[in-house]
Amino acid sequence: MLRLITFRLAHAVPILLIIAVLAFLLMQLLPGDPAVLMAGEGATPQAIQEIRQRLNLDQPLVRQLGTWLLHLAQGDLGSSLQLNQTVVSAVAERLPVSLSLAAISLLITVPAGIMLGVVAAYARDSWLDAVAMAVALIGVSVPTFWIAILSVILFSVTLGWLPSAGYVPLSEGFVPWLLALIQPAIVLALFQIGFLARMTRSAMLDVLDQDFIRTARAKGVVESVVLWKHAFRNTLIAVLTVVGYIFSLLIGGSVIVEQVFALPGVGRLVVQAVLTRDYPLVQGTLLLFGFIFVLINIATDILYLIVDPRVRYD
Amino acid sequence: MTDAALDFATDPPTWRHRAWKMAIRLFRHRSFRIGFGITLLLVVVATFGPLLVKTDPTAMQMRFRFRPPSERFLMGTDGFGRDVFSRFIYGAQLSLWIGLWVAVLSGIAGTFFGVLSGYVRAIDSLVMRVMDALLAFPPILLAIGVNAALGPQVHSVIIALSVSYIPRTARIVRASALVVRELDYVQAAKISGASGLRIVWRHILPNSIGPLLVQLTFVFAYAILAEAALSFLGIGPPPPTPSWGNIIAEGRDYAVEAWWIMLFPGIGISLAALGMNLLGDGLRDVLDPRLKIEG
Amino acid sequence: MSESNILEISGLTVEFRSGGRWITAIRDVDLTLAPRQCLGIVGESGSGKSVTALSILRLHPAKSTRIASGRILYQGRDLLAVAPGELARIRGSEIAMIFQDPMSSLNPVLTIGEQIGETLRIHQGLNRADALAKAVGLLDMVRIPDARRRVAEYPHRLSGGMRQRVMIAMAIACRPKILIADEPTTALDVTVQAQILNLLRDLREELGMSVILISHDMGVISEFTDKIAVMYAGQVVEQAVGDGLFDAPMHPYTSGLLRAIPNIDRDVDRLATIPGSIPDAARMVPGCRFHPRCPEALESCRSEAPAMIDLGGLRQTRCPPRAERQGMIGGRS
Repeated sequence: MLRLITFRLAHAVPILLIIAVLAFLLMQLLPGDPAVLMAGEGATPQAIQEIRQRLNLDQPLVRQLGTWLLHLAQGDLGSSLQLNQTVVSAVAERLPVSLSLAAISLLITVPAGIMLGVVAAYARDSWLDAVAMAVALIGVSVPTFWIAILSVILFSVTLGWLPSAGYVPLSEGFVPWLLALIQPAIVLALFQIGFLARMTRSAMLDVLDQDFIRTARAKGVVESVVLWKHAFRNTLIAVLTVVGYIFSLLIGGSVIVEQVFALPGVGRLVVQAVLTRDYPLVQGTLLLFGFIFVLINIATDILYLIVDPRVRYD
Repeated sequence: MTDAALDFATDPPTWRHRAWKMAIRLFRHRSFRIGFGITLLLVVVATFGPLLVKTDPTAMQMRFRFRPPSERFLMGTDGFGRDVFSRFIYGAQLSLWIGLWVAVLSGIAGTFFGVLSGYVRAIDSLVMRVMDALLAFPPILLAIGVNAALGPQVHSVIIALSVSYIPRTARIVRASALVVRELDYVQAAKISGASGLRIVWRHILPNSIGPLLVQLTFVFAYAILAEAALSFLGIGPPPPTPSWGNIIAEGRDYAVEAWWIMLFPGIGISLAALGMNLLGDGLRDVLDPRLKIEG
Repeated sequence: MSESNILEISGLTVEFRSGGRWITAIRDVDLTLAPRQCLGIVGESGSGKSVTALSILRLHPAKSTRIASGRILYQGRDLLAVAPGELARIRGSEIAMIFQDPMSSLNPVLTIGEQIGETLRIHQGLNRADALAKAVGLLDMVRIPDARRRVAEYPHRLSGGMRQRVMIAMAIACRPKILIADEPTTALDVTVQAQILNLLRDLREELGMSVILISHDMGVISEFTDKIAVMYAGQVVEQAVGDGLFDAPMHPYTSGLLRAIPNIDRDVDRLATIPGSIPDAARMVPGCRFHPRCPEALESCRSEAPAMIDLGGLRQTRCPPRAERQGMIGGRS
């Protein structure tokens, strides 16, 4: 098992390296002189020259890449052009907001999506299945930002139950924190719930068709135990394979949700960075997101080892 | 019996026959029928709508700001007095256009990389590691990054989204290439001197087309949603362009007073994504019952 | 219901749903099982033997199967009518079942001990530790070496034969009165087949169970059972007790199955098999269901569906021409 984990970690190293190179190359995609683009219209030649030097743009490409990787290895992602901050500190400052949002959203997504999928699979072809799958389908079809606006109109403007925007840190109390985040977290969860429910349903149907389910019934196991002990644990193994993708959806969605609900998180930072042509910041945050995703995938793989006895031995 | 008749009798069913049978099975599938209906409706609207709508979607008529839906303005007007219906129709065209291009481009590029890595052993692990790395960026973020680099234009949205969906497509094609490559008759074809290209064309591509098509339908749906999200964030096609996401972004501040501005494009996006998702469900059940994972 | 039978199936008709239509899978099946008896049900795949077996414990996929008519009397109670809770109590404790494919019949994420112990915990209310201890004893009983270590393992570590032994251990855990074995050796190697069948025979004697053994292999059936029902296209076509069926088959289909046994004592150039295949259940042929493949078919076989003919001595056939011949040649005593 330890060997498998080590192997998995080693496997991640080249991917991390390629992510770093891809993030670096993104800057090279800029048409024309990046320094001119970044400085904006009407910039003085000195300002342009300053940017060029700060970003090592005056050096050959390979040299630039080398410097980029070297700095990266030291935890240095460069500095923002606009914020007078390093990329790392800019992200670190906003990370608690995004993590809070992601955590609450995930806590809603996982039980809701799995329940919906299990119920639909178990009540296959009944009205319950139809309703559950219609809900899931709507979840993966309705755009997040649109539902976010509609939700604000209903719950914040009309009913006045929840704040429409802004973030309250956890240090100011659990309830205010939760109140500020619950609406965006639910809105953010909708797509993932739909995805997870559809996924769980088909995995569950697969499992329910297997011979060992019939064996359990033949032993006299009652239906609820067949479902939750025999079928569900096997379903979970299949569902685990998409956990990484769920995270990816979550991160992508949080960019939009943070924008609508004016939450000062990392997603909002990226959008701001793009709009103000703060390319080092775009590059740095993308890279961090990529790294986080790889780490999450390693974590799910290790989880897999724990849940699935077949992988554990072989 | 003539030779022609003999041929007819011994030939396996032609592809035309098989395609016909497949179509019948698809149309027996309820999700597929509904999805097909919705998609057809939107395609008709997007294709013929612009010919019928007289109003310029970008023409501002300040006299008619914030008019609610009426006979004259079916979906009302926005803050600049532009006809939302006209913008909606052109937005539909743009959305489907972008969705189609993203599906086609990521399909072609994904197939290329999938075949390359599934067939040419030597570079398999390199290509797949790059794909894994690309996969590490959530599609919308990757699109934001690429778009930031290329500038806010329709074609950069298309490129950005295509790039982000290549890895998933490539994985699917690679998976079937790996299976097909080991089949006895493919090995036999190889030994008897069939060229690599011929094997790819005759065996690998036909075998991956089912799962690929299913995948691309879902990519289509995601692309429509992602394009709308990018537009909404202000990183999509630049503002005067009537894209569904842009209309919603512009109508957002008046969502309560002038609800019609953002309501209709939202419904449009949802319908388009719903239609493609239903199509994908139907295709998956019929073409590839074993395929469970979308996206 | 005769007192001497532990299980009596009568008039059992089961239908499957296929493309919106209900199709008859088995029709009017009558079978009886006496205590300590081993009933063999033999037939090709698609003959309805597994459907019959699954009906006893109502283990069909519920939504696509329905029992159109019939009764399955177990100790005087109709299993088709008992409440789900009662059925669950009977399953595994009084009537147990093992299946064809031991590779997929065990839950991959539960240990062997857990899966055997579960039966004991459900029906005998044992706690986890006691159930596990008893599972070790059961593994010994089915002759799995090193049982103490094996209980903690997962199914994928075991060979097919070992897994089938685990299935048997699970089935006999509560000392059931009836064990249904649905093609228990089909998926196994020839050498393992004999071991498993011998094990089943020994356990039957040891525990005094009745066994229903389902197989497509006449050789297996002839060696291990004392009563035989031959099924074809959803019907029982011949029944016999003892060796009578092998000496003088009373149905051409039975004759065909017997010829299909590879006989190594005799020098056979060609394996005699029955040409053709079972007719599609959705488009059942009129008359005798076997007539399209029957070398002895008469004109009357094409139109008249034959009823079961009682030949006396617990012998039954659905072939009137042979029955008649029997009457002419030997007569009934």
